Amino acid sequence: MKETKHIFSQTRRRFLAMLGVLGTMLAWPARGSSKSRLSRHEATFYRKGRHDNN
Amino acid sequence: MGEVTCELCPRGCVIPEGASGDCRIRVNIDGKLVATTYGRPSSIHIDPIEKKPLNHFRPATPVFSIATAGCNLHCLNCQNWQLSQSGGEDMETIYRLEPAHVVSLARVQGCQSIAYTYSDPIVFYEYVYDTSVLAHEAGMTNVFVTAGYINKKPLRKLCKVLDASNTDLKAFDDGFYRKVTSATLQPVLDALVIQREEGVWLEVTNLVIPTLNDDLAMIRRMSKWIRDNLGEGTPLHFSGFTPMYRMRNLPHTPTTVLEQARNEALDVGLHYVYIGNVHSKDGSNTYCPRDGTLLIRRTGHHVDEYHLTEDGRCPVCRETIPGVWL
Repeated sequence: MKETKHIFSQTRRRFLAMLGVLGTMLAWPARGSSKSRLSRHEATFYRKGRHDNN
Repeated sequence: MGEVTCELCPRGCVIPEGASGDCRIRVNIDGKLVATTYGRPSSIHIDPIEKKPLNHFRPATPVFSIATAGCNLHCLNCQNWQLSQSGGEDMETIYRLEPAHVVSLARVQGCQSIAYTYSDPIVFYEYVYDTSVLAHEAGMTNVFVTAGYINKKPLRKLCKVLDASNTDLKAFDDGFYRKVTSATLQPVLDALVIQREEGVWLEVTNLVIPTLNDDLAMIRRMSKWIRDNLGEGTPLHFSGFTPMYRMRNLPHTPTTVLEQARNEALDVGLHYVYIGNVHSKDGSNTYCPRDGTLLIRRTGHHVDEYHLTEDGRCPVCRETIPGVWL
C-alpha cells in the first residue's frame, strides 16, 4: 500500500515536470522570436488586389 | 490570397503576400494588411511641447511622446533613422502598450497631451487613431508631428481626433522632395491645407539644409504660400540642420542663414517666425505682431517669461494671439 502510494507520487512528479518542460518550450518562442513581438492588428485604408491610387 | 494595395499614403504600395509596404511595417499577412507595430512602440519619452516644436499650443507643458518603427519617407538626413528606417522586428526595444495603457501612463506621468512623433506617425495610423480617441475621452489632447505625406481621406478622418500638428514643409521644391526624401511636394501641401480646414492647430517646420534648400527666393515663395493658404498667423519654424545619417557631407546651418530666412518670412507678412536647433537672441521668442511687445521669452525649449493674458491676448494692445494657450 505504502509502495503504491510512492509510485503514484513519483508519476505525478514526473508528469508535472514534463508539463513544466513542455510549457517552457511552448512559451520560449513567444519571448524570443521577432515575429511574435509584432502585432497582427488589421490595418485600415487598404484594398485587396492591385489598384491605382492616382 | 494575393496582393493588397495600401491606400494610406500617396505611395499606394501594392504589397504581395508576406511582404511589407515601403514603410516596412504594414505587412500583407494572408491577404490582409496588418499594422504590425500597433501597440508596439519602440520609443517613449516625456518632452516639453516646445521640442515638437509647438510654440502656440499649451506652452511649457510636458507631452507624452511615442513612436513605433517605420516611416513612409526615407530622408537622407533623418535624425531618427535607427527608428524610422527599420521594420518593427529590427528594433531591440519593443514595448507592449495598448492605446488604453498609453493614456493611463501619460496621465500617471502628469502629461495632458500625447504626441505621435519621432518617426512618421502616419505609418502607425491605427494606433494613433485609437489612442487619440481614448485620450479625448480622458480629456487629453493629441499632437501629431509629421511630414504630411498622407492621402486626403485618412487624414480627414484622423483630424477629427487631433488637436495640434507640427508638419514639416521640407522645401518648396518638388525636386528636393524627390531627391532628399523620396516623396513629392503636392501631397504635403494638400495635407497642410486639410489640417487647417479641419481645425487642427497647425505649425510648420522647415529644416534649412545648406546648399540644398537655403535659397532665400525659394524660402520667400514658401512663406508666401503659407501666408496665402494657411494664414499669416501660422507659426513657421526654421530649424538648423545637423549632419546625420546619409548626409554627413554638409555643414551645420549657420545661424545667420536661419536669421535671413526668418527675416524673409517676416517680410512677406508671416507674424510668428521662429528659429530652432541653434542659439538665437530673439528667434525663439513670441512678439505681438501689432505693437512688438514681448509675449513669451524662450531659451531653447524652456519658457522663461510668459506675458499673455488668460484669454490669449497681448497685455498691452489686446491683440488676439492665435493658439491654444494655458
